[in-house]
Amino acid sequence: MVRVDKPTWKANYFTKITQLFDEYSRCFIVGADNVGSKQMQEIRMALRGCAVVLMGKNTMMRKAIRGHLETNPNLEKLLPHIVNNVGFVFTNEDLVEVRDKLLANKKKAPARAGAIAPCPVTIPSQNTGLGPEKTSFFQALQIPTKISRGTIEIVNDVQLVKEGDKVGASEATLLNMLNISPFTYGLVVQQVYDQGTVFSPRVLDITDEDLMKSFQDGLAKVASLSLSIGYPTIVSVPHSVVNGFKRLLAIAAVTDVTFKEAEQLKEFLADPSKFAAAAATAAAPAAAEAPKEEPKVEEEEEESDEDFGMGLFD
Amino acid sequence: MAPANIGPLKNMLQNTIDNLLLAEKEIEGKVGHHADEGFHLGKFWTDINTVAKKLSFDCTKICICFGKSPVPTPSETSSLLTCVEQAVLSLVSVFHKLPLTLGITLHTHVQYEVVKAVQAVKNLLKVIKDEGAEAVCRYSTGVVWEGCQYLENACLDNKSAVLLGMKSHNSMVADAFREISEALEGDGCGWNCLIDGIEEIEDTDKWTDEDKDLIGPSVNLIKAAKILYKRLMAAIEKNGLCNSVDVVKELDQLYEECGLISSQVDVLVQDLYPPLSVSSMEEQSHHLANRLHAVLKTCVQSHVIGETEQSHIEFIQKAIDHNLDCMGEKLSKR
Repeated sequence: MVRVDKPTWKANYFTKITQLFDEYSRCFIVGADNVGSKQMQEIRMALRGCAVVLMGKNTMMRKAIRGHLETNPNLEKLLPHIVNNVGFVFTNEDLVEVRDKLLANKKKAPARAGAIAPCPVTIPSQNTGLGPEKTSFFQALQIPTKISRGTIEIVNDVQLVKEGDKVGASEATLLNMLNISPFTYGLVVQQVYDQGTVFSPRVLDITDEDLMKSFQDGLAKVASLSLSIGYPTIVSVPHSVVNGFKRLLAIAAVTDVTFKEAEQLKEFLADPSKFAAAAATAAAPAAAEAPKEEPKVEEEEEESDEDFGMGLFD
Repeated sequence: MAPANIGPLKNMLQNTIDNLLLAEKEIEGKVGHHADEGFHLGKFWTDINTVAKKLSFDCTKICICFGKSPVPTPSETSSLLTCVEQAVLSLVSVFHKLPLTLGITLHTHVQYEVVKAVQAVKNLLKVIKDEGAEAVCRYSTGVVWEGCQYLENACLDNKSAVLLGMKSHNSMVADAFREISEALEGDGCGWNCLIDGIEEIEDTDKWTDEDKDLIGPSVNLIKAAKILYKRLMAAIEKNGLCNSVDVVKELDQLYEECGLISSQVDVLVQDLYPPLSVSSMEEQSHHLANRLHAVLKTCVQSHVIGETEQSHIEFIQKAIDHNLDCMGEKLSKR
């Protein structure tokens, strides 16, 4: 590979970035926090043939894009997103597939002091294998422990770090002592650019259920409107029928008029004890399940007793 | 969803795509009008909200109908597409009512968002016509939802549109300042750049101590730009008005001039990296200083700067002049 001086290299970079925007209609803006150069090489290799990674100084990427706005004005939408530690992944392939490849290339990493937790960290109850001399460490982090066969045992699952919190030095040391690498780092898709449109990556995960929910919300609005203005539509007719039926039941309840569907209602009204019996039958299965839960409560109480006694012998 | 199944419907889809393209061009080409008699901004946003909801719903219907077999019949397709076209036409018609007197920044922002929504609908139909992959169709619908949702909740006036735009520029200037500050902690080499098929960089260019000393005033100018954005945004937030044509124009002018700063900052930062070109640095620093002075002058003449903010403006003006003097002094000593 030829080595060139920086001004030539910069000019080549500018040409390359414009070529990429011409060649590829889609790209991701990816966050590259905590991604090392070795991992970056692995990601490039994994994407080879389907996507190209481009990293660079933000000022240089923005300047290059501004220089290309005359040819492709849609790129202006990308500018505000080129801030912090970001790069581009260009592709013409299916966006979901390329995104999944990026997700597959995340790596586990130990917690570093000062890092922002990308997910909550919970230490499961376990025997740590650490000697009693480390007890003060756990006490400082208010983690309930007991000594079991000469080693420290964590009594309950403990949430050590919340999502978005800064990892403290003690938390980082403890996680390393327990050989827990709680975080996974990789290129994180922040924005998607597809043929002139910039959108959030959440859009890539829309399911059929989301579509149906959105459709049903719309139907509910149409039905409400139809009912309130008294204009029957295909979506309001079932509601109108049910409302009409409710009115018929109400009439049947207060008059001698009866029909098959109103008989049970009239029976209950005539003899409320029947309703009480039916309600008791319905409640029985629930009552039968209730005792099952009780031992669980006792178990929790036992655990909290242990917690309470734990500090006495430290 | 197999694209082959929609063969007979392709023409219908293409017709609607063409119509949407016309609508898009119509919105993009619209210069705007000044007559605002009887115009009510609250009512405008209520109408936009209603139409955007309708458009979003119509696109959901299309996605669901084309997402399963059998695909809709030609008459069903025609009905679905007519609904979409009507919703887009309503959106265009509501947008046309927005007069320029309420603010060019607001007008441009709404124009951009309306075009974005129409483009998203057009892309969805293109995807159904050409690709047919279910997942692509789903996320194309999601893009329509996102565009329509923004319009549903926007409810902006010129002041909030100006602040929204300035926020983006501010984040870019702050980012450029952070980038050069971090680079100054080292010697300027190590570009952290990665790209396939480009020559390896000869990374022997580094800042000397003298270089670092020389670029100090330019970095301070970038810092002044950052502070200016911060102060100006706070002043607009506090004092910005939209109740007369004149104040609306002042906000527009401020926004227009501020927009030039972020690109100039990026150009300057690029010229500061090693190997340092002193003449470029000097030239671009003066360009930035001129732009900052122009914005400060507009600020002083506008309604957003009250007595409290006056001292901030003077401080930034003095800082710019001081750093230009400082740069001149350092260069004369070389």
